[in-house]
Amino acid sequence: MSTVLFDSLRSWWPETILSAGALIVFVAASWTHNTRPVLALTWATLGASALALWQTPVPPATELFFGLIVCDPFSLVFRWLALVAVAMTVLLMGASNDIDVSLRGEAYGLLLLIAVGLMLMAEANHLLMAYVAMELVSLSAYVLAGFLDDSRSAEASLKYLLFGALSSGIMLFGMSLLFGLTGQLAFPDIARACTALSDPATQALSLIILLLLAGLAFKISMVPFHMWTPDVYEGAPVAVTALLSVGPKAAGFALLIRLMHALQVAWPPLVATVAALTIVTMTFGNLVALVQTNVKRLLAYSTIGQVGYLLIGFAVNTSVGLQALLVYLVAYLFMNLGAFACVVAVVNESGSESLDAFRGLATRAPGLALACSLFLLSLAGIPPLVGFIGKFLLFGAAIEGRQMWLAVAAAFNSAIALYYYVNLIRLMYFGRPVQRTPFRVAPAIRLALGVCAVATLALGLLPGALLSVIHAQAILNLL
Amino acid sequence: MTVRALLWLAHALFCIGIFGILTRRHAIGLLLSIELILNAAALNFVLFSRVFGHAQAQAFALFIIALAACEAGIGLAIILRLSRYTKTVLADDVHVLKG
Repeated sequence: MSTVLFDSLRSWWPETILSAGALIVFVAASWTHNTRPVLALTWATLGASALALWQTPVPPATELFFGLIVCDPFSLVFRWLALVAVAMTVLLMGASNDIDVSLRGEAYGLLLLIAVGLMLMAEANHLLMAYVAMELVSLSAYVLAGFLDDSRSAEASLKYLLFGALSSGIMLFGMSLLFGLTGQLAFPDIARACTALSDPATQALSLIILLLLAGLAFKISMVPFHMWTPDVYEGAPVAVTALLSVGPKAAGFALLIRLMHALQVAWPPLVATVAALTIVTMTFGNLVALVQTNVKRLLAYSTIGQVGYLLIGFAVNTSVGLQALLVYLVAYLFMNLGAFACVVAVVNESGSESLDAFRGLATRAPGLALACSLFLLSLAGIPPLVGFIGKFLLFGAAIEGRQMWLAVAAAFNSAIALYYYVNLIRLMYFGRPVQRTPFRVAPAIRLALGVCAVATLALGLLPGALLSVIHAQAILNLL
Repeated sequence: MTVRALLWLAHALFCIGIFGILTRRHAIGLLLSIELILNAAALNFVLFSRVFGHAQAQAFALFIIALAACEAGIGLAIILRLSRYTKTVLADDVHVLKG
C-alpha cells in the first residue's frame, strides 16, 4: 500500500506542493497582515509547482492513488491551463485595489486551493474524486466571490453558493444512480459496465447523464444553468471574476469530456439535446450581451456566448472536435484573462465598472486601449489572432461532424458578438473621455497584459506549435 | 423489498429537496433543502453499496456528509454576512443585483 502511495506521489508533486503551499500561506496570512511576504510565498509555491509539473514524467496514461486519479497527456494540458490561470489571477489580485489589504493573504491561499481543485477535476478518474475536486473549486470560489466589503459581493457569493450547491446536489444524485446502475465508481469500470447494459437500462443511463450534466453545466455556465453567471461576475472582485471565467470553465470541460467518454454508449440519443442547448447557450449569451452597460456583466454574457462555441467541440464528439475544443480553451484562457486585466486597470483608475469608464481610453492610456482591442478582436474571432484559429477549427469540426446547424448558428452568432466587442473598441477610440488625465497602469497588470497579448498574437500567427502539442498529446489516449 | 422501500425513500427525499428549493424564500430554508438532496444521494450510495458489496461507496457517503457540513458552514457564514448589510435573510428581498 505504501509503495502505491509513494509511486503515485512521484507524478503528483505539483498538486502536493500547491496544497502544502496553500496551507502555509493561510498560516502566514493570519500571522502577518503584511501582504508582501505572503505574496512572495504564493509565487514561490506557484513557481515550485510549475517546475515540478515541467519535470513530471508523462507516460501514456497512469492510474495513481488506487485508480482515483489518472495522469495522462490530456490532463497535463489542463494542469498547465489551471496553473497559468491562477498565476495570472494572483498578478491581477496583487495589482487591483478593491480587495482589502488585510484579507489578501487569505485570498492567495484560496487561489492556490482552487488551482489544486482545477487540476484534480481534469485528472479525476473516479466519481468520488470528481465530486471532491468540484467541491474544492466551488467552496473556495464561493468564499472568494464574497471578498469585497459590500452587499453586492455578499449577495453574489450567496447566489453562487445556492446555485452551486443545488447543481452539485443534482449531479451527486445522478452519480449515486449511476453507481446503482453499474455497481462501479471508477470511470474505466463504469465504461466497461455500461457496454454490457441491456436496453431499458440504457434509457435510464440517458436520464442519469442529464442529472450529471446539471452539475457540470453549472460549472461551465451552459444554459439553463447560467443564471448565476452575470450576478456573480458583477458582484465578485474583478480578479476573481477573471479566474471564474476561465479556470472552472476549462476544468469543467475536462471533466465533462472524461465522463462522457466513460458513458459513450448512451451518447446517440443525447446528441440532439446537447446540440440544441449549444445553440441556445451561444445565442442567449450573445443577444443579452448586446444591451449590457456594465463591463463585467458584458463579459459575463460574452463568456456564456463563448461557452456556446466551446460546446460545439463537445457536441460533435469527434477527435477533431475535441482538438478544436482544447485549442479554443487555450486561446480563450489568454484572450479572456487579457480582457479582464484591462477591466482591472480601468476599474482601479476610475472606480467604475460602467462601459462609460472606457470612453476615450485611447487618449488616456494608448497601450492599454491597444491591448484591450487586441483581446476583444480575438474574442470576436478576427484573424490573425488566436481566437480566429480556435473558431475556425470549431466550425470545421461542426461541418466535418455533419452538424451543419451548429456551424450556421455559430457563424450567425459571431456576427452578433462582433457588434458588442467592436462597440467597446469604438468607445475607447472615438468616445469623448470623461477625464483627460493620462493614467499609469500598474506594473503587475502590464505584465499580465503583455503575457496575454504575446500569447494571443503569437499563437494566432504561428498556430502550428499549439496544434502539434495538443494533437500529439491529448487526442491519443482519449477517443 | 427493503431495497425498493429505501429507494423510494431516497427519491422522495430528493423530490422534497427540489420542491423546497422551488418554494422556500428563506435562505436557510434553501440550505436545508439542498441538505436533503445531498442526503438522498448519500442514502443511495449506502444502499447500493450494500447491494453490490462495494465498500468504497460507503466511504463516498462519509465524504458527502463532510462536504455537506463544509457547504453549510460556508453558507451560514455568507448568510450572516449578507444579513449585516441587508437586515434580512429572505432571498427574495435581497436584490441589489439584477438577477
